[in-house]
Amino acid sequence: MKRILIIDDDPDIREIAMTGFEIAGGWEAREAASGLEGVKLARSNPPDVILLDVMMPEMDGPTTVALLQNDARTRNVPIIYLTAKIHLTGRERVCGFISKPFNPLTLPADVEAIMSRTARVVAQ
Amino acid sequence: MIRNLPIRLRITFIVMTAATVALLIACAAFMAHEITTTHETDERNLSILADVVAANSSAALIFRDADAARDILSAVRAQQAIVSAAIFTGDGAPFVTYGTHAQDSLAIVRAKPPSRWKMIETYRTIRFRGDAIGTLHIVADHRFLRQRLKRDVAITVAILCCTLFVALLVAMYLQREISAPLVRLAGTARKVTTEKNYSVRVGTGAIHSGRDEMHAVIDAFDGMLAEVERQQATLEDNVASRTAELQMILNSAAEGIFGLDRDGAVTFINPSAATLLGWRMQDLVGRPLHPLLHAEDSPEHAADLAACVVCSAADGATSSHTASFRRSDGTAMPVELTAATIDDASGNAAGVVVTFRDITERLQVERMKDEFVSTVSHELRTPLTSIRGALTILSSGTMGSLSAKGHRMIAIAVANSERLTRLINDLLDLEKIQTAAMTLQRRPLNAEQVLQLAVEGVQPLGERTKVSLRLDAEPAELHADSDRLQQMLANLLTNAIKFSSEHAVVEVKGFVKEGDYVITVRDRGRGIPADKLEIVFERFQQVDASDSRDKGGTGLGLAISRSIVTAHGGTIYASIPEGGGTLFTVTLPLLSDGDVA
Repeated sequence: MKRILIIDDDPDIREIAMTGFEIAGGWEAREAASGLEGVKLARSNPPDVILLDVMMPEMDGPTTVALLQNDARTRNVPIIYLTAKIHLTGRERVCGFISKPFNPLTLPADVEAIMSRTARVVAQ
Repeated sequence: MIRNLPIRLRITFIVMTAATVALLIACAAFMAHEITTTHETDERNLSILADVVAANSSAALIFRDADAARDILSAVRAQQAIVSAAIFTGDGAPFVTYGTHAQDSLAIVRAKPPSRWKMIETYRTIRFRGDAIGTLHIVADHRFLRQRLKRDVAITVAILCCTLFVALLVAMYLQREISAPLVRLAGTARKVTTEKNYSVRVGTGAIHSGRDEMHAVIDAFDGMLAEVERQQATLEDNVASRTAELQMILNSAAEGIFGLDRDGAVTFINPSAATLLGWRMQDLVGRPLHPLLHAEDSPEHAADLAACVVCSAADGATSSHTASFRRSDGTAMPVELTAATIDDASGNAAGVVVTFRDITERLQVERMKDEFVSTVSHELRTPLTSIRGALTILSSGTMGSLSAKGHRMIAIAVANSERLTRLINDLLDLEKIQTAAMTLQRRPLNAEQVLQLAVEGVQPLGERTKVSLRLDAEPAELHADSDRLQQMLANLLTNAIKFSSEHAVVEVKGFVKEGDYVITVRDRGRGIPADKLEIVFERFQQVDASDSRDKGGTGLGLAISRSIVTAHGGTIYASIPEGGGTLFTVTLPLLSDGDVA
């Protein structure tokens, strides 16, 4: 069972993403409605991967990334941005992007592909 | 030497010389005649005297009566001119002498004749009954001749003086007639040249009347001056009105305009420029602007005048760019400017004219637009993500089976949500390309590879729709943004495939032509009507209103393609090839030496 944490302020998107992982099977998916909640969840029980929305009220994606990477418990958890943003700087400290709108049926496979690519890079 | 003299002196010189020469020739001829005549008279008189004395002295010689002979000779004294006289005996010995004669023999006397100019002499043989018994020798002084000559010379000199005086008067008169108008003409011409006063005239009435050449010259000169004056007046009027017009344009221009000379000092500045910069116009004119103009954080602020791209453009160059200007209160103002070099008559850079516009507002608008686009993108995509996600899951059947009709409904919803997604993506894309045209990631690219990659990219679509692609590309180096070029080509190729019928061929060619790389994409589909060949490049313009639904296009593909090509400095257009279908022709500049720094 791979554990994934989905952080997005939009409940519909969270639900659809969760459903995608549920259909795919083999995933234990959890969700958080804000960056802060996500960080708390991740610290208490670090997942294998985090799917993180970039544009969120209160605490946005990059701030969340910084919090996660400053904590020993969550430092090594790969983060994938789930984004509708078109202007990215290219300096984001994450291991991949999945753009909105995404296909919930292929989402687990996409996440796995990014994870295995990251694992390969880390191994090298 | 004479040539360098003023005409006035030359005239005097010529008249005087002519008079003198004429007079001298006349006097010389007269004197020669006088000398000859006097000489002849003297000789004749002496000859007669000699004849008389010789006849009278024969008796005295025969009787060797020296006293009688002396008496005869002394009679000769009456003649003042006689210097000496002598009677020689038959054997040549002196018998009696008078005057300067020494007691020389006849032979010695004959051997020493006196100067012909001072004296004249004559010999007479003294005869008695036909036999020569002695010789008479008389020498007369030419005193009379010399006196005459002296008097003649005196008279000549006197006449010469009188003549020269008269000649001088004549010369003065002539000079007034000829030289004075010339002097006045020259004076007027000099005045015109030095004072630039074209209203002066030489005038003829006061000093000259008549119809001679001088009059004509002066008339012509005055006429010329009148013409020049008239032209000058017209010119000044024109200049004044043009200056007023230009001033009006400068004053009314909303853009700031100022001119700098080679040393960077302000030659002119319009009210807009002064207002924008926060100075008064009169405070800036004549002042070096470079040290005042550039904001502290701008690269021009640190540059020398010579290195400043605003204040000293290169020879004949015009450059347009954005910069940051400093207002009089020290605040910075973003501007968009054009700096053009002004050349002087000999083609050297004489200064620069800078036209600028405050783009503070524009930058704000652009920033707001960027934020808006970003927000819209997020706000539109978030619900779309949910809709599509939900529909995708529903249509997968994992949530329970649906009726055939239900499947159909969901398929319609999925297709339309996909279309909406593409539309949003394309719109944002177009916006990005058009506003960020300057930030293309250009690098040297192999045109052949670019085309191969693009064709490979649409191959799956071609296979699905049973349309084949044929590529024929020449290798060449481009300087372009690879991703954007792929996006543009994918667009053209997808269109070509979509509008081709089954088993049709889409031809893609790439070749070098006249310094550009030309890419053509030709399909054999239904084609574009002639009146829509240009319109298809506009947003949301499709040949057929149903295309958007049937072919899945957003109506933005060609607008995006044109934006990309234009940003690269190229052109794109559609045409109707022979044999039907559509031909898209893209022209892109080849890589040049200046492209890669």
